[in-house]
Amino acid sequence: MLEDSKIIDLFFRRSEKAIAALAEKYEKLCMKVAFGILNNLEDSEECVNDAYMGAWDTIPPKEPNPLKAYILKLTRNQALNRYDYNSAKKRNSTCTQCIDELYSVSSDGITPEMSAELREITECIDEYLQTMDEANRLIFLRRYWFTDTYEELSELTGIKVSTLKVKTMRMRDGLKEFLQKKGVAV
Amino acid sequence: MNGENIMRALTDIDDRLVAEAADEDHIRNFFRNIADEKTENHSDKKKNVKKRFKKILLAAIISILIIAIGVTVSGYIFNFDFEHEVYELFNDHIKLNLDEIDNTADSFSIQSSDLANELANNGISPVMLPAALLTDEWEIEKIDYQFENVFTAAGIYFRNGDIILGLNIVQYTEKCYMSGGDIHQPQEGTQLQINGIDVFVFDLLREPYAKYFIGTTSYSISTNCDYETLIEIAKTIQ
Repeated sequence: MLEDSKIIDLFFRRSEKAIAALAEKYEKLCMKVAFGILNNLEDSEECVNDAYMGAWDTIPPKEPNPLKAYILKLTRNQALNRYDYNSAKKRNSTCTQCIDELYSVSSDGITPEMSAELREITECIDEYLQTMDEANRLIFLRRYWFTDTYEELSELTGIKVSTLKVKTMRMRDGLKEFLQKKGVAV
Repeated sequence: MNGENIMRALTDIDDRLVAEAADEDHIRNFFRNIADEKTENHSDKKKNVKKRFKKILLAAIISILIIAIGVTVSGYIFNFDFEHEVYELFNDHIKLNLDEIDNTADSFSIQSSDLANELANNGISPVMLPAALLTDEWEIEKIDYQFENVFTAAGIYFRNGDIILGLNIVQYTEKCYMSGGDIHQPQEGTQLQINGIDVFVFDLLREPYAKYFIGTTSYSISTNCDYETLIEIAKTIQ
């Protein structure tokens, strides 16, 4: 597998081998992230492919480091968009139409107001994560970023499922309190 | 703000944190190291316990010698209705001998209660509880949990008017971590046999106290009611 810097070089030279190299190295991880959100193989594959195209469109000018985090974030965004779309389709109501209309406001379905609000929350979450010890931070991220099941998380950390459930509940409570202190409505 | 927005906002957190959490090998090693460190610490603690045991043994020998020469060293009245082998008597406290105590329950007949379910959901199961506390007269004010590598503990706080009662349950992963515990300043004690287990009720200097063990789970009850009332509550353990 190529080093990240060499994959970035391929993108900069506009070589199609770049996507193949990216897929070879990170497809398994990207599929895990997408499938965790969508629970559907076909949708997940599409999201991962869209994420590759996102990387193709943005590198250059971007030169992401670490590349792994970048491609995972692209995948996660695609999967969350698809999740919203699938949920809206299922609801099939006036509210659904409104959501569809709002999705058309910006290319990724997020209005500028929502985007600013989300950025604020992201900054708060970043700050909250810095207050955690490494063990709790890893548990929190595996559960809520990578959407690991408690059983997967238990296998990964060696901690009992019941203990993990309580730990994550306390972290959620902690995050809620932190956001409230920062004046973010929850 | 809703869960979906939080999920979305999470996506753009610091790249380094994402990359770190994506590395499963790193996570496995990290938690394995933590577990190894805890095991080492536990071994050290066991060594300390052995040292402490020697000190206690020495204290016991000295106490026996003092009693033997007829010198009164304590103002406490020891009036125990206990089988001889289940406890060790010290100057101002007694120690329950776990190896001699009946701790195998005949049955667990209260598993369908809300409290038993709540405890089971948090990893403490099966349990034997005083049925008297599960009646409408008693209200559960709060439950605190503590989760550690070698035990899971629950502190349950009951109230019945002016009477408050704390039931502390500690479920250990292995028997070697358990201890009978020191019961300080006991005035009186009663040993009950209930559903196959020994239940010890003490009248301490300031309040009554009860203790029982089931497998690798230890139960203790502290309350501000009187000694006889606690005995009646203990008799309803099932």
